[in-house]
Parts: sequence; C-alpha cells; structure tokens
Amino acid sequence: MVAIKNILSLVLVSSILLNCSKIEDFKSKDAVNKGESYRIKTKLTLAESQNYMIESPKTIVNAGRIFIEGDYLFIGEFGLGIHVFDNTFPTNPLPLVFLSIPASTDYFVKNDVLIVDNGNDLVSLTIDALDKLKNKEKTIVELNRSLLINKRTSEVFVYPNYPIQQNVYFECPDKEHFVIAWEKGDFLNVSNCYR
Amino acid sequence: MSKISYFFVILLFFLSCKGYLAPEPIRIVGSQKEFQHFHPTSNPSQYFVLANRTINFLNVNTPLTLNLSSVLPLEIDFEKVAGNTDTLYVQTASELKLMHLDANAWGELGVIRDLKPCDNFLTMNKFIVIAKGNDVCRTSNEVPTITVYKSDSLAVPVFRIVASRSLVTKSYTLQRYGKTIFVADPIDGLAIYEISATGKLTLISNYPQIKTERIDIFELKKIAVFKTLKGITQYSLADLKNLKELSSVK
Repeated sequence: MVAIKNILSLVLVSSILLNCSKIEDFKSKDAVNKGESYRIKTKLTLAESQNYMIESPKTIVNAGRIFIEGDYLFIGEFGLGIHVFDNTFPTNPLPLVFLSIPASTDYFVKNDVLIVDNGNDLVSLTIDALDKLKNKEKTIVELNRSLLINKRTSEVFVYPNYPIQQNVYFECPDKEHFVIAWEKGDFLNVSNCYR
Repeated sequence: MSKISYFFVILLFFLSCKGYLAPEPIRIVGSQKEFQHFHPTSNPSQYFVLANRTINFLNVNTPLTLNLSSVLPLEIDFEKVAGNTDTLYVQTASELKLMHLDANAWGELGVIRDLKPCDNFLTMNKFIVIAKGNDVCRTSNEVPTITVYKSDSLAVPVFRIVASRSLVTKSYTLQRYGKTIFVADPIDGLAIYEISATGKLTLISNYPQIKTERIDIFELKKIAVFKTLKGITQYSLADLKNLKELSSVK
C-alpha cells in the first residue's frame, strides 16, 4: 500500500514538472518571442453576439474592410460592427451611424443589403434605414435603434478567436465565447497560444 | 506520506503550473482567411464566400436569400481565391492552383509553386501577378519581388514568367486598378506599377508618405481608400502620377 502511494505521488509530481516544462519550452525556444502578447479584453456569449443595434457614430479604433456603396462609406471595426459615413461628397465624409454587429470581421454591401459574418454565422441585414437617417427623415431613436436581420445561415464560418496580429502570443480562449477585443501588453504568463 | 502531504501534492498539481488547464496551444502562422470571408468574383452577380475549408458562391442579385452554392466538391486548405464560375485560382499555403469548374466536372489545370501564405496574387486578363517577400507571416530576409506570369492557354496552361522586378516596397497589400497595380506596406509606402499588353512592368509612381497596410479601390468611382496612421484616407485616382488626397476620417 505504501509503495502504491509513493508511486502515485511520483506520477503526480512528474506530471507537474513535465506539464510546466512543455509550456515554457513552447515560448523559450521561439526566436520571435519578444515578450509582447495579447490578453482577452472582451468576450461575448452567443446570445450577446446576436444583439444588433444602430448607434451614434464612434471613433475608429481597428479598421477592417472598407466599402463604398452609393453615397455611403463603410468602415469595418473588427469584432464590433461597421462605421457608416455619408460620403455624398468624398472631400467631406460625414459620420452617420455605427452599426453594432458584435463578433463580425468582414462584410460587403449590395442593393441596400448588408451581408456580414456574425460569430460563426452568415447573416443579411436590410440597411435602407440609412437613407432615412441621411435625409433626416428619421432619427436613431425614432428607428428604435433596431437593425433587422433578414436571414441567418448558421455555422458557415469558424470565428477567429485570436488577434488579427501575427507572430504573437495570446491568451487561449474557451470555446463558449467569442472574443471581440484583445488587450496588448506583457501578458506572457497567461498567453499560451500563438500565431 | 500523510494525508496533508497528499493534499499539498494535489494542490501543487493544479496550481503550480498555470497552463495546465489551458486549452491546447493554437498555431495559425500566416493565415488571415478567417478575417476575410467575402471576395468579389470576376462575375458581377456573384461573390465568393470563404468558409474554413470550403469555397462558396453567393448570388448577390438575391442577397436576402443567402443561398450558397459550393464551388468545389471537396474541402481544400486555401488562403486566397480569385476567378469566376469557370476558372478558379486558389492560393494554398505553398502554391497557386488554376482550377477548371463546370456543372459536371472540375480539375486542376496548372500550378505555380513556391508561394508562402502571406504572398499576394491577383489576376489581370491573361496575366497572373504575384508579389512576394514580406515579413507579415514571419521575419523574412527575402527581397520583395513582383512577377508577372502568362499562359497562352487556360485549357492547358503553362505559366511562363514575362516580367519580374524587385519592389520598392514590401507587398503587405496588393490591389488592381485597370491596367495598374498598387503595392504597399506600412513602412515603405505605396508604389504603382503599370502592366503593358505584353506584361512589361513599369513603375509609374511611388508615394513613400502613403504608409498603408490596407488598400481598397473603387474603380467606378475612381477612388482609393487607404488605412494609414492618419486614419482612413480617400484619394482620387484621376491622376495616378499625382494622387490627390480627398479627405481623411478617424
């Protein structure tokens, strides 16, 4: 009985040592490891990711795809949604609204329809409300801040639960959330994933 | 060994190494495809919708229905795609494949090898333009080059190099505008090359001050939009030798 206990103890301690060394080797042997890493800042549940809103214009932080369609300039904001400008005069684009579409990374616009990824899904949204806002026929409040979904096709994509930056370490995410914002800093102690 | 000792050993097991309960490490060196799902095809009524390992078409004339049709009857580990319903260019982690598609059959027609995931390509009529040599994926000492390939036949393609030259910038981003191509990176700026009918490459202008990691070109409006440190900047493309800034937003 004592022998079994000793063996069990040895296995446990060995597991600790082997497991730790595996993670440390992962970073220490990497020539491009500069000590800079990304920690999860904001993550959403599936239900939270499907809450679409029309909001007041916001500052652009991390611009993604840019699209000009009709009189509008669209600028994607990684993980958060799309900035819309009235681009009737390209010399003077005017901020119009921010379309809050959480967990989105890419989109395009065709015939007043916004096609966008949303988490793992593909969705289409009608955006004819933009004309009403641009022409001052309605306000955001009068539109009830609602952005109506037309169609959803589930599980088309695999949401990128990692920073868009490459050659970086980041905190490993769980599978139940969509990470929509990352914080850059010296977080190597929690950053065991790499890309 | 006492019960207390056992308790500490087990506690040590769970706490001493913080990474123990962490998910398995993820390594996705190079690929940005999960950030870029939608690409226009050379057919105005269709868009590519790129999922994890499948390439689909979406009919944009009926965008509300979101009817996707699979382009290839198989999964493929692609990075970037271009082309249309007949002819498809697929860039994988190591090569560029030209594939023929029709309702009943598909097949690989030709291939250009020795590519990296971060290399860029575009098609321009009978030419394929490949810009190589950037450090987006990994630190690289490769000299940035641009190469124009041509095949006299798409049915039985044999790609031959018709022009090649070193770039004045790295090829962080590559876009087409008419007979010209825009190559840029956030350090060296923007360069614009013209491709002649024979495939000859000519540098027509260089803008070291336009340091950008992203170019979007809207040909019908003759506008290019650059993502720069200054913000999102629109330029008129009326005169490529003298790009005129229209506005910038933040």
